Amino acid sequence: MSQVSALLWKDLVLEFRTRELLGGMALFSLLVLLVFNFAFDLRVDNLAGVAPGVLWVAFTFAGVLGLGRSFVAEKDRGALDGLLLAPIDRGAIYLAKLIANVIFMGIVEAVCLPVFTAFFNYGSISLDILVIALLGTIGFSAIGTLFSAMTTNLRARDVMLPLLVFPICVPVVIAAVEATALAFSGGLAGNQLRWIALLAAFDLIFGILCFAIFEFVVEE
Amino acid sequence: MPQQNLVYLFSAYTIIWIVLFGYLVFLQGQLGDLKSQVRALRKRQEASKPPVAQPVPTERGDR
Amino acid sequence: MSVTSLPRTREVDRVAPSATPLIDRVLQGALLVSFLASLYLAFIYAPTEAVQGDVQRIFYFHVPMAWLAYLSFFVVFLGSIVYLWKRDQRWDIYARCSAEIGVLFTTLVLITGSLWGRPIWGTWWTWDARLTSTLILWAVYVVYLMLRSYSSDPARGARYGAILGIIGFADVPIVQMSVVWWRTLHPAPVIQLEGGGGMPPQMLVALMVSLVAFTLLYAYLMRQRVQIEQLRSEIQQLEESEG
Repeated sequence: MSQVSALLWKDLVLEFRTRELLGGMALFSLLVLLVFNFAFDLRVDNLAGVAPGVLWVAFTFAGVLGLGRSFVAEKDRGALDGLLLAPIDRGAIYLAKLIANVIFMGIVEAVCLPVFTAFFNYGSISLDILVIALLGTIGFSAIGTLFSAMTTNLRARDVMLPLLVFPICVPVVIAAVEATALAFSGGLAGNQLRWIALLAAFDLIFGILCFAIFEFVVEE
Repeated sequence: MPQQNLVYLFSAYTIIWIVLFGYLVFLQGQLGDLKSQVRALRKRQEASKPPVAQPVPTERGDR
Repeated sequence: MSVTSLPRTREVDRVAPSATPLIDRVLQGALLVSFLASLYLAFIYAPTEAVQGDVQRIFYFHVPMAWLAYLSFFVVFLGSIVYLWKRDQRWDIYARCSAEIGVLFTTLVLITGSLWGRPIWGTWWTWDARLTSTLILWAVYVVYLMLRSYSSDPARGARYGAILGIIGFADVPIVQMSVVWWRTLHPAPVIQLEGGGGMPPQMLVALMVSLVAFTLLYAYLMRQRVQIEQLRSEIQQLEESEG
């Protein structure tokens, strides 16, 4: 536990010193919203159907950007080898990175969501949305952190990460978008709960699976 | 009329055959190439070895 | 890599390179017979479906290929687990070859599904539950093949592939569930492509024979493809020992 918090603190401090990545991710998410505005010509009638998807595209695309960088710092400075040589649980490295990624993605979402509601004059910031965003982000980051560690060593690293993450995370995207749509439009609570349950199940299953499998990624 | 849809039926089966057969032929070809490569490499290795009495697997086409 | 870890090439192949091993001959014969039989059953024996007409006969090859695709990816899953556990290169070869064959079958499933859907639905593609989840499955394993190709170090490629092989397959039921819910809560015009519960016995027979034929095909393709990888491995070793 203390290993996790120490590693986590290191990552957070490193990022908050420069805030380059966070700034870039946040701005990118806003740019996605901008592009979608032109792409869809969002008038009131089709807004409800399209808007939740737009939001989650913004979240996930910015998220992939951040995930792609999560192990780069370690690789470039050879720090990953140092971490691996130290008597640290492989799982702790994964957990720390995961939490860091969730926090970073969460900050970006916290910026993007209010701007979204303003841009499109749609949607709200409610407890529902926060829960959905959190669960979706955890699921997305669980997969993303694992594959980010994997792709850091590959030649075509920037291309491979989205290719790996998006197909696997389809359930997260579907569930998050559907739940968000219901939360925005005040739809059937039962259905919304079903999607949230799916998100939670995904997080649990893949959180554990990725945590267990992580050591095979970094063994060298 | 359902009868006009036969073109779809036949194109589907044709594509299946072409792809599967093509893949099979491709695999056969690769196998043949690799096998002869292995044979050539083995012959080279046998030839460059100093003559030592040893049970040699009959590879020279005794069969 | 020491010689003892090299997957055994068959003694028969080494001794008489031109002779085909008995099991391959048997498989070839069985393949011929079963495919001829399933063609007959699919085109002549099985009755014409009332609503869709003869186009429905695509079903007899489309469905078995889908099942075989799932089987292939399950083999990838198993191979991946055993490889990570035992680090025996043979299991990595099984996984990789099965993935390639699985992608082949999945591609054909998508193409034949589209060709079937066009006359029935009037459109080349529809986002119904089955087609959508098949497309996602296809994407996952195409990425698997790319991952294997892009790894410059084969041992690392095997390890990374194994990880994706496990996670990808674990995802399959969840993808299935989420797509089905998505479609049930957002109904789109869906016409049942498969026969469903009320399938007449002749159709069932044709389907089953076709399934047998494709299973044999999978076995044969695996044998060929695995042998190719084993030979490549042997060549690499031979070249290395020459120095």
